[in-house]
Amino acid sequence: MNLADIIAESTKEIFSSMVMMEVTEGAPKANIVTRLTNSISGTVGLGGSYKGMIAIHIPEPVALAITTNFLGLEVESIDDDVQDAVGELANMLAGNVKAALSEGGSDIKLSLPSTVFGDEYTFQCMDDGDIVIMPFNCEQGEFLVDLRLRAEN
Amino acid sequence: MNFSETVIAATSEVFETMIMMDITPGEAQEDAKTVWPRNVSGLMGLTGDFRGMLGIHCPANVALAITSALLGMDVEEIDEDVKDAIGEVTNMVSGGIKTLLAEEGTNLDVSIPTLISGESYKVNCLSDANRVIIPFETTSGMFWAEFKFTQNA
Repeated sequence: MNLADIIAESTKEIFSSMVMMEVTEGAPKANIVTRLTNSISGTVGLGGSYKGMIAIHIPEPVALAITTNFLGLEVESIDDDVQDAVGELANMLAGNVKAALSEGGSDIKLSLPSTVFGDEYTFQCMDDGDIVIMPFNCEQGEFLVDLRLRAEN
Repeated sequence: MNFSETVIAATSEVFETMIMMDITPGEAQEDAKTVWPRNVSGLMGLTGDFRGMLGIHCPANVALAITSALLGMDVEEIDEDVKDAIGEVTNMVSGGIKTLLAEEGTNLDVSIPTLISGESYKVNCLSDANRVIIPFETTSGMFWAEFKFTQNA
C-alpha cells in the first residue's frame, strides 16, 4: 500500500471538493521533526489494526484563506472558526486515509481532532513506524500533510 | 461521562509507580478557555466507544524534573530525552485510562504519542467537544492533564 499516493489523492480530493482549492503535491520530505512558525496544525490519532497519526500543518495566511473558502467567512487571525476548520480538515483527511486502509479489511478508528497553533513550535511523533511528510502547494502558499503509521499485530 | 476520576487515577498511578514523583491533583476544571503556561505537551488520541484526546502539558522546568525522575539523569534543557520522557508519560497515562475504562466496559484503543514543544503555542479541540482539565502540583511546579472527548462515535 503506497501511503504517499493515498495522502496525495486524499488531500487533493478534499481540497478540491470541500475547500474549492486546487492543490498540487510535492516530493515527500525527509525531516521528521517539523518546526513551525506562525502556523496552525490539525491532528487526528488513528487506532485499531493500525496505530498512527495524521496532521496538517498550515502557515497562518494559508489557513485564513482555507477557512474563508471552507466556511464562507472572512477571518483576520487564527480564531475559533479557523481552529474548527483546520480540525475538520484533519478529520476529513484521516477519514479518507482510514477508508483507503480499510479496503484491505483493516479496522481503524479515529480519535478526536486537536489543533495546535502559535508563533513557534515543534511537532514530532514519538513512534518508529512509517512516515510520509508531503508538501502541497496552493495559490496562497505551501502546507504540509504528515502521516505516521504502523500496523498493530 | 465523568472522566476526572479516571484521569486522576491513571496519572497518579504512573507518577507513583513509574516516575517515583509526588504529585497532588487539584480541582478539575471544565472551562474551555483556560490557558496556562506550557512548553512541552504530549498528545495521544483515544478511539473506540468514543473519540478522545489526552494532553499532558508541562512548563519547561516541570518537564525537566519529570524527565530527571523518569530517566534517572539530570537534564538542563528541552532536548530529545525530555521529549521522549513526556511522550512516554503521555503513553503510560493513556494506557492507564484505557485499562480503567475497560474495567467499566468502555473499550478504547490508543494512537501514538505526539510531542509539541515551543515558547508560545496553544492546543485546542473542536469547539463542540467536552473538556476536563486537571492541574497537578509537584515540588517543581504544576503540570496539567487535559482530557477532551465527544460522545459521537
